[in-house]
Amino acid sequence: MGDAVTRLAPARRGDLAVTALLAAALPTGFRDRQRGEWLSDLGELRRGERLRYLAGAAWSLPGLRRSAMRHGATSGLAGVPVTGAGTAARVLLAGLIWPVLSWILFVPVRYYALDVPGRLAGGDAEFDPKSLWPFAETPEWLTPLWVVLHFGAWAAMLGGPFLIPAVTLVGVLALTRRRRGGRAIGVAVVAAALLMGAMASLSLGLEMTSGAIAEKLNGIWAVGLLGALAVVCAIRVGDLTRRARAGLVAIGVAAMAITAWSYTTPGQSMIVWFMD
Amino acid sequence: MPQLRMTTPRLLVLQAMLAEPERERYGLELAGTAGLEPGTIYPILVAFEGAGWVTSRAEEIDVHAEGRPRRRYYRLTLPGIAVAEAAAAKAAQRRPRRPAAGWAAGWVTR
Repeated sequence: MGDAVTRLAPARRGDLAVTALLAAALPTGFRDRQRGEWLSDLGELRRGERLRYLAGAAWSLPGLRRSAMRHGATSGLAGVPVTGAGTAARVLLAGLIWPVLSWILFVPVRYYALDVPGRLAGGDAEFDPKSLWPFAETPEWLTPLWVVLHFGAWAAMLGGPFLIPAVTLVGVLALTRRRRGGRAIGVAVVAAALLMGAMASLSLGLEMTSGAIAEKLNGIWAVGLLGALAVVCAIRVGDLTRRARAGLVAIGVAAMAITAWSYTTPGQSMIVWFMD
Repeated sequence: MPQLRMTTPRLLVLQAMLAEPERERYGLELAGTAGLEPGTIYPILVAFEGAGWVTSRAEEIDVHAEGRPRRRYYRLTLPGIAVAEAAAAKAAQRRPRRPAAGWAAGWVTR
């Protein structure tokens, strides 16, 4: 909003800071408008009234956020402009979190925390990924969570034909869960993703008969590719919040690090252990 | 267009606007007239705008010359007037109309 905010007198710097803090909780495209409202109101109030006003504004902030997000599209409010690239970047962010974090937890964290290299060198029979923590030593009711994370790690490991449908599936579901109009699109994408996954499984099943399974399965390069795409989106896509941008960079760098690490000697050992 | 649940604060704002439906008012002024706590009116106004009950426009001033930020003015639309009248009539059937004299009435002078 430029003018309305930055041209205030220095005495209003406290108001600028407080309203900026409050506005950070609002949708990006709505922040400046609301900040202008607060600042113009504060300009009329005395000190005691201002504190009361700001308390009221903070109290009603969740409701204001809900209203701005719910009604922004229909009211002509300056909501967050959403482009195709912005939507794709958000799908990528939401979809990539699951395989990347699952892989980190289930492969390197377990590999080193449970001293798998030591077990292998010492001839310890207990090194099977499926019989170590968290599948062992945790309550049974947590098993569904571990299975979901295990599948996430496998999606990262298998790469392309599995990872891209998985990322699309999770990302679209995450984005459309609160949009009534988006459900049909969500269902269509989920169906397409499942179909791609099924076709990939079938083709992989045929290939597994030819041997060299580990070589066929290891598609972790795709994680790095999607990670690089996430970083590019963070830099190039315009209609992203600062939080989404930071998330894309963080998850993108983590994904690229996974791929890079996987091509080192210790990384290859980890992959062989996990895919055993 | 989304339908809104009629709550007491929303009804108070509609009643305040209905008193002079053609007049444009800014948020703080409306909060004072409706008797709402200051700073709490904006979720209501944004919801009203989303529902098409009010329109808003930014004040056309030279912020450098005036030395203050632009206000945003709100006014009832025709559907908003109809909704406000219906809600006010319904409320009047249930209980005596609450006076819209807010704590802030004193400091809203402009």
